[in-house]
Amino acid sequence: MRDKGRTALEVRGLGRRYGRRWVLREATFRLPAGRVCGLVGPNGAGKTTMLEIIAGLREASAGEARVFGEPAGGVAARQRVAFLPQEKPLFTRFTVAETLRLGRELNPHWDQELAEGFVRAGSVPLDAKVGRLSGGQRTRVALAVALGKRPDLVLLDEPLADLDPLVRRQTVAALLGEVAERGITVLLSSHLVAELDTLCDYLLLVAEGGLRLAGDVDEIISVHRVLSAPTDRVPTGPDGLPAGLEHHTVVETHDDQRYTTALVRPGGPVGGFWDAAAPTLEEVVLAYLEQSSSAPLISPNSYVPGVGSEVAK
Amino acid sequence: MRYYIERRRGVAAYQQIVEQTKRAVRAGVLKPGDRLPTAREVAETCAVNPNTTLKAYRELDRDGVVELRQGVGTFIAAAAADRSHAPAAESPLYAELAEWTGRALAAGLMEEDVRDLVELALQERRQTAAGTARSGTDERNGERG
Amino acid sequence: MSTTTQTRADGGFPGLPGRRTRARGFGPSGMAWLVWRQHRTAFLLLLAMAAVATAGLAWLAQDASSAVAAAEEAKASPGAAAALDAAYQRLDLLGLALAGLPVIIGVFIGAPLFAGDLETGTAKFVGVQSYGRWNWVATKLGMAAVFAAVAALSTGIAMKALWTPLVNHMAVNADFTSTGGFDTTGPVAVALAVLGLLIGAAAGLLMRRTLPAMVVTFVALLAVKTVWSQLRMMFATTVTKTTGGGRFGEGDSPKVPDNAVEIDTSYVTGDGSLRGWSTCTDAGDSSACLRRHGVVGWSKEYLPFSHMDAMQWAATGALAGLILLTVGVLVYAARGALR
Repeated sequence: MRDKGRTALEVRGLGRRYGRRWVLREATFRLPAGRVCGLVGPNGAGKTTMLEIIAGLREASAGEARVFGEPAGGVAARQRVAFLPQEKPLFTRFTVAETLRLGRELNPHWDQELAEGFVRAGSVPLDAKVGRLSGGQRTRVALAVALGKRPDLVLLDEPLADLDPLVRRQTVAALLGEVAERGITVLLSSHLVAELDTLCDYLLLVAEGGLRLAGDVDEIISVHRVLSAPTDRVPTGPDGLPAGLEHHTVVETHDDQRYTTALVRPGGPVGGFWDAAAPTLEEVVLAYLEQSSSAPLISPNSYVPGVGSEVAK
Repeated sequence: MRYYIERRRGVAAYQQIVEQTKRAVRAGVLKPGDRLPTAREVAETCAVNPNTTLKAYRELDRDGVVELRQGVGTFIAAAAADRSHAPAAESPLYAELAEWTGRALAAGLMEEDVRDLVELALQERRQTAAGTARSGTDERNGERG
Repeated sequence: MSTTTQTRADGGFPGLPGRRTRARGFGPSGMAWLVWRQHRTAFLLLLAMAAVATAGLAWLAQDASSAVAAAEEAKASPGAAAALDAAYQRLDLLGLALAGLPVIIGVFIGAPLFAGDLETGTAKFVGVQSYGRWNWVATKLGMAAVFAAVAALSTGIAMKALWTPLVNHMAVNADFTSTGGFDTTGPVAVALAVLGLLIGAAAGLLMRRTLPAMVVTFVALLAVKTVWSQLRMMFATTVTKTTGGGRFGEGDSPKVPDNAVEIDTSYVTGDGSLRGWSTCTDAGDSSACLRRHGVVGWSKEYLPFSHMDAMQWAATGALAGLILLTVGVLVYAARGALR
């Protein structure tokens, strides 16, 4: 793979405001090359804005983003980045072939074969008007233009949101096929947390106040445990938390009449009456989203030196 | 070889690929010298992240099940067959299990129940072996709730 | 344009690998290809309109010059006079219609130029390709400006060909400083067309929606036109002829060239100051009255037709300033819309 072991994307203190309102603040992370990274966070956390800044569609109000070392928005970075906005805008009056021609005319490293093949594999007719295509076909055409550019970093904003499950799977399969072939780095924002664990191997979770989780998906899962116990067996500990959790970093606790569950980062052996299980990625993500005050977990390979944030491990 | 990746608690996608490959080798479906699908093929058929597939193949390589030949592909290692026990389908254990499965289904159990029973039996084994189940490797398969 | 055919050509043969060569037919490439493909209908419609207008004007010009020739040969033939009159009526009407060209360009080409892309999101689609976004803005404006200029230039030349013989003919009191004559010919026509385009484009970038941008452009251009009508004479360099020695009878009024535009006629006194033309219209003995006022002769201010070109260039200079100002607004609006 190209650029293996390199940094695809480095974001430092990135912020953007419209008037007086900050939609993105103090985003700082590093994304190693060759990863498929999910970007999750609540609505309004500035995910789209961040992607647009990296793609060169917007200027940052603070901080900077670098794509393979090149400042985002510059000519060099622009050629290496492809961006698919959520609404997948295309010229509806162009044919599919003309849309690919646009890609060819506006990109020096255009790969017509790749783009045409990608469109054909989805059995999208080249002479059809884009305005008459289905949502899935449009997504495929838009992706074909993005991939035909031969980017090193692909940014996708909610690429699967409006697709039905079958098309979603086909789209993901096609995209991942190109990732395998070309070693592209992918950063995609998504609401579909449940589907991220087979799609992504890297995760960035942004919430109010910045980055909450960053790192390898397997690693993130493996350092968390879901603890559960019948509520009547769980005494309340010294600081109001259920007992037995003192040695762990508690991300979120939840109890109802019968069961108390907690998502923790174990700081030692899990003992006593607690049942421990590995969480799903979805459980981890939802716990961090729900409890935005929990301590962030930034994996060393996404840590940007010189910027104050906690490093785990 | 086609992998079926499902979202299961505690079993990462790469582990599922590892398990399914090993199972296929044990069952004799995959023989030494057979080529595993490329990460791209797995991605395109199963919508699995190629990094996940590669991670699984690396693990299989470490376990001696496959051989990664740079630029050629991933092949079932010659040693893999030796490492596996006698092909499961021919073992008397399998015959017993098959017979038992038949009885279980005849008794009205669903496939899911059968799997649960096997899982439960395995879990009990582990617990007797480890005393109290609290070590990091075991809790992966522990049930909660 | 044969832009789609080459890709389609192998679309019917799925067995063939995709084209490897970047075979290019005729026509623009790069950003210009996109702008042409996207706006070709509007551009071609504009050119077609201009071509029809040019052809019509050229035909009328022939008509007018033969009418003028006929009138000059057979001095006072009623038929010739009627033909001239009809020609002038048409001229007036056509002039007003042509004066609407910058408005049409502004509303139908300028306003949707960026607003359309901002509205549908294709501005983003183009913005993430390898080219910089200012390249996109400049190519769009440049190509639209070329088409606007070509349209204005061709109709302007035809209009001038129609106008000139009629103005030159004394039977017609044609006002070449009017909207119909001045704004539709020569460099002024081109400058106004470009200004209309830019105002439309700037409105589009500011409003970011096509329909509101078109309305705003229409209103803005009407306002510009109205103000411009008031300012136009500022660029005229007039000639003043005076008579003296007490010759202020009706017949003593100085002659101005046939094709000139009279600006002002008044009496002049011994010390050079002017008295209004109606100073003594109410007096019983106007001569005595005028003498009492110290009037010694006539003063006539006029604008000869030969000054028209200079006046148009001066006006174009002012319009160029306005164009630069609009470009400034446009760049500011583009920064707001695209950043």
